[in-house]
Amino acid sequence: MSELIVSCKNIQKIYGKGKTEVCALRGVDLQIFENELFMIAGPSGSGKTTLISIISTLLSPTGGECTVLGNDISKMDDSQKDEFRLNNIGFVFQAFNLLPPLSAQENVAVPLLIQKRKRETSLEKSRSILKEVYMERFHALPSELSGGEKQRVAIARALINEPKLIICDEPTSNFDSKTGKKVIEILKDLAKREKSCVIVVTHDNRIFEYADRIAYLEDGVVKRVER
Amino acid sequence: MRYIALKLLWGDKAKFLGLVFGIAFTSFMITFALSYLAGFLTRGFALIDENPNVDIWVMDPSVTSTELTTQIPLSMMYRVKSIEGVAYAAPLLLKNIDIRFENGMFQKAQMIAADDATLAGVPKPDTTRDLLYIPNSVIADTGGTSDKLMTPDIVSYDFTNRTIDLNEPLRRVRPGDLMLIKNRLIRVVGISKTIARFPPRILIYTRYKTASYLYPSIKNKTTFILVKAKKGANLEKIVKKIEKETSLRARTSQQFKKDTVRWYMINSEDVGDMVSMLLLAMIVGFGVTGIMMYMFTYENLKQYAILKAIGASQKLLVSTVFFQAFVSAAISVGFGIGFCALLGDFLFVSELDYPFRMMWFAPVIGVIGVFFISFVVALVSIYPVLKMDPSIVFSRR
Repeated sequence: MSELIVSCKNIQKIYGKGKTEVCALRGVDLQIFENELFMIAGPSGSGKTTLISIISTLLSPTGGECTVLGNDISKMDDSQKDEFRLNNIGFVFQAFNLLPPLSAQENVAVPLLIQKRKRETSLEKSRSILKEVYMERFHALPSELSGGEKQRVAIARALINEPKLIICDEPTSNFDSKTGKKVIEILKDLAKREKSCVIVVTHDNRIFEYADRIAYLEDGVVKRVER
Repeated sequence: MRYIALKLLWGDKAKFLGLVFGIAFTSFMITFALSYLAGFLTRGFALIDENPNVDIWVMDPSVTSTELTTQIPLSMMYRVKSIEGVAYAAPLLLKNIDIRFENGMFQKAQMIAADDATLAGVPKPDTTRDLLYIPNSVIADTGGTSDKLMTPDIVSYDFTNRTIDLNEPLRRVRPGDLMLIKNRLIRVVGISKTIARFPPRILIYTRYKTASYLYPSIKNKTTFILVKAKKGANLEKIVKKIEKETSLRARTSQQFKKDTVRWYMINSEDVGDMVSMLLLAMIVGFGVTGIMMYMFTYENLKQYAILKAIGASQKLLVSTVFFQAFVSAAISVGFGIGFCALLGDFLFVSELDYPFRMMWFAPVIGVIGVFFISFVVALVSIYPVLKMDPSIVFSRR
């Protein structure tokens, strides 16, 4: 049986106070397992980004219990969350979020450099990961890369510290269907090969076929989960 | 992580150059203001500096600088000469006077009258000091003034029948020119170029005999007694002996310089102006560096958020910002002080009579000041980094 990676029980998130109060999540229950490509879909404002922010420990829930890799995130302090993310979670963002002054290989090596690994060995590892995602322009700056290349660099960065959980925010929305499918194929392949769990937040119904399961979120609650 | 910090710092060249310029400007301003202050203060003790052979200065007990002086009886010089350890002693008389040029214009000047026998205290002119033995002769010096030691271009040698013509062409005074001091005709026999004074003033060097001829009231008086100690003698002991046996104030040259600097610090309004300039430099520095650094951090907030999302700790982000501030300060302070030194060198080479003297403490305080400013600014700039919401990495921008 696959290991449970993420468990959300009655997760609630309220932004603001009093008259400005906005309820983004109204009790979300989810379980996500190892080797799974799990998609979260839903209209804008449905709470998708809030949910992955909580799962990735960047936000704290107002109520409920969220366990990631067996750790109750509400019991972690900020520095424990930082360390947890560094060692266990990889991110792929819609806007790529590469650091503009760093080359492709340096961007990929950032998590290892934060872990205070040696620069040369970090860059060497980053080059080998980049090759795995079919990206060989190691020294190119983000401004010199195409959208597809940027996303491959972002995926390589998410993978370099061999995380058990990879969180992708709209990873294909900037691409045509061919490139988008290529990106999702890389992610699916990695989920299986690395025994990781990949959570993808998306609007893009072109890639739904690649999901092991899809959760549909609406008005801050999971309406249904489909296989 | 320092590698990433440096790359982020240099990555945005326009912002980095702006930051470097801001901090370099600050260090330049601080160092320049201090060098300017040092230049003025060292000019304050120019009289001591231009008499390097003098070991001890003896003066009235109330005198604590070369600027505000009074006279003592000349006879005290003979008592000083008789003190053990003293090789020789000579008088040096200072008197503020008016000099009148051929066009009838007056200028204020300081007369410095030296011992008739040795001419100790008289600088080397463009001619020779011995020409002072010609009766009623002086050596003139601009003393840091500009366009004050000027005389009409046409020499008529007729002071009495001339009418004042302010539009008459002027030229610098040169050997052979005549001037009136106390209504007596005096001949300039040489032009010297000693250390400029603070405040600038025309200097008229002459012999004691000429001075007392012009101003009989100062006959048998002197302002300072210049003492040369015997070789190997202990100056401190001689100072104490002189003070004990004459009841006058005696100071070694170094002590007298310090006294003079202290006097200027307490009494001169110009020093206050320069301290204001220094404070202004610090405030401008705080402003410029603060804005540049804060903008740099604020505009790169997304990059810090990415690092935070990946797993960089708060402590690591704080140290990154401080490291960037430190590196920027280190590079910029080099440019700022280097440029200040080059400017000083240019001022020296160009012979512009500008009070600039970069002493050891100017760059040291410049460095400390800039690092202090950078530290405070980094402290302020860290605030948005600490307060940012790392989940902004999911924003679509």
